[in-house]
Amino acid sequence: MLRQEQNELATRTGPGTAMGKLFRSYWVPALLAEELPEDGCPPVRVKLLSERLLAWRDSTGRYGLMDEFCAHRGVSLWFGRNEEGGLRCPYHGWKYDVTGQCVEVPSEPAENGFCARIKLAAYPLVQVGDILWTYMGPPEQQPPLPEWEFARVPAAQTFTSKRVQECNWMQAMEGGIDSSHVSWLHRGALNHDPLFKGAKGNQYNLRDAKPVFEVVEMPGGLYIGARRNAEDGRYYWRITPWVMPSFTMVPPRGDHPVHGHFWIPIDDENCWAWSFDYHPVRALTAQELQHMKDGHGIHVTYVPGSFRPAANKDNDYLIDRAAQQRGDTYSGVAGIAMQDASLQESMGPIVDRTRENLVSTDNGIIMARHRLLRAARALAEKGVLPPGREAEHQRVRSAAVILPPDQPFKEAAAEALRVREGVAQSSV
Amino acid sequence: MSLSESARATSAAEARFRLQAPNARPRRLAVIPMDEQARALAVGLAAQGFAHTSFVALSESEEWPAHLTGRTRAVLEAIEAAQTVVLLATAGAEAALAGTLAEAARGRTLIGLILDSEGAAPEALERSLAALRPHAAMLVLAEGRDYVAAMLEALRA
Repeated sequence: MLRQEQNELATRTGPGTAMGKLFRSYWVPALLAEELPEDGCPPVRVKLLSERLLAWRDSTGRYGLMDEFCAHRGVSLWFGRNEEGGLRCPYHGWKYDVTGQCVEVPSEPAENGFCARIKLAAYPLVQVGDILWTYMGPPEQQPPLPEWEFARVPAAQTFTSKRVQECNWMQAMEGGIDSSHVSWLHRGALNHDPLFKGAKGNQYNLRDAKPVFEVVEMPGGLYIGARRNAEDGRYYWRITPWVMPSFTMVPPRGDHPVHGHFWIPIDDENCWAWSFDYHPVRALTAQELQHMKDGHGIHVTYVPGSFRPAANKDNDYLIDRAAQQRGDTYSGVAGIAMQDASLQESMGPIVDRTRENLVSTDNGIIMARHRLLRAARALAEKGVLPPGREAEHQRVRSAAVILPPDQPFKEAAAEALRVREGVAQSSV
Repeated sequence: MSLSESARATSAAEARFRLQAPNARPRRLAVIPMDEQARALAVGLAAQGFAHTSFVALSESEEWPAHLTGRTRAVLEAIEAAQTVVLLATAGAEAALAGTLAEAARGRTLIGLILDSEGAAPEALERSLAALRPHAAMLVLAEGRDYVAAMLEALRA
């Protein structure tokens, strides 16, 4: 459980909040690069960390992310005209560049200096991989660009999707480090999902539904190891890294692409669930890509024209009680992503953690909360920048490995848990 | 269009109608340090007032755990009263009595907590790990020591 004031601290990420400052210490995914496909294309509304922003790409190819609303009368610049290196408000013609600087106020003489005094708040927007990333913190504390492997491999080797999740970011993220739910909620997926099935390691999972867990702190966050018995007294380990503030990677299966997530607050009651799949050393096959686009693995299908999942709260997640009874799915909801999202959204917009009764297998969640709260306080009270900003912390991998029984997995699998250029993931 | 059952039930407005009645009775935890440094930490934690936790009263002698024999009754009583037993060890601790304590704690959840793992020599870590891993349902390797209090609070200790 968390005390109410701890829950407030953990879940509120708007401007001026302690957790908001923490998130504003990192480059975070803002939108898919494909959402701004060409120079001079239509702008896109983006809400991040409870700030209403507008992302756009000017006629010369520069990206911008700025206050959505015109400084003149508060009109949404989503209606703006993207023309000649700037975005012009259609109401009275005020024009802005990608830094938010007003460059033209038609009603004022150019020489009176009025427009130089008008500037919208704006943040850098940079493409790394399939994603446009932003940094919303103090410019003097901007960290190096993201080094996550999925965003750094060649384009043919990676696929990223995003979906709206209608609950607070933290209860969504906690699902990603709650390894003990997998044997229940997602049972069946190992046999049927085209992006999981067929791996030898699946047999260990299916033989042993009660793994033993180890939670190991590391400088950037945690490793959560799930241990099952393998042959000859050895252990089959599935190791999930969690890097602050909200990055996780699922341990791989066979030669399937490796996947993982970011959970980024939209506001305090909604978040983006970013989902990526990549292979460190080969291109994704056409079939794998199609499976991802069809909503298999950790991806979803959408309400057309949106990033809202086709199965959502408005249609009761298309729950199929007959499929639940037959055992096709454990909860009656289809697909790993929506199996998670449906239950996490059912907790309410911000779950009341004062009423929880956590158990020993929740230590990954307890440790992650502890790290986040500690870092948020240290930043807010002492200006200490949090872990997870450094390239070293980001160049991690998940792993599925078989190890002798007496070794600490962090050390025994140290190579497997680091990014190694040109070397495939460690998987069983 | 009328709201679906899920859309209505997950709204912030509906959250106000959740029952506030207690949904669990207090559990008891027993925290048993496995070495002198862990004992010192446990003494400090005991003073913080975790009402549902027994920190087993250990000898004040420097010769811990040699005096455990004399404390057997207190240890067993603490374990018997608990639903969850936490074995606390600093990295490198022999934790030689882990097996014995685990046997006494049969039927209870046993959490192993290894502290100060950051920078510990691999062989020191392996020593503590070898003692605790076979018995713990959950093993945590914490870099420092502040996690213990956070975990106890999270478990409603």
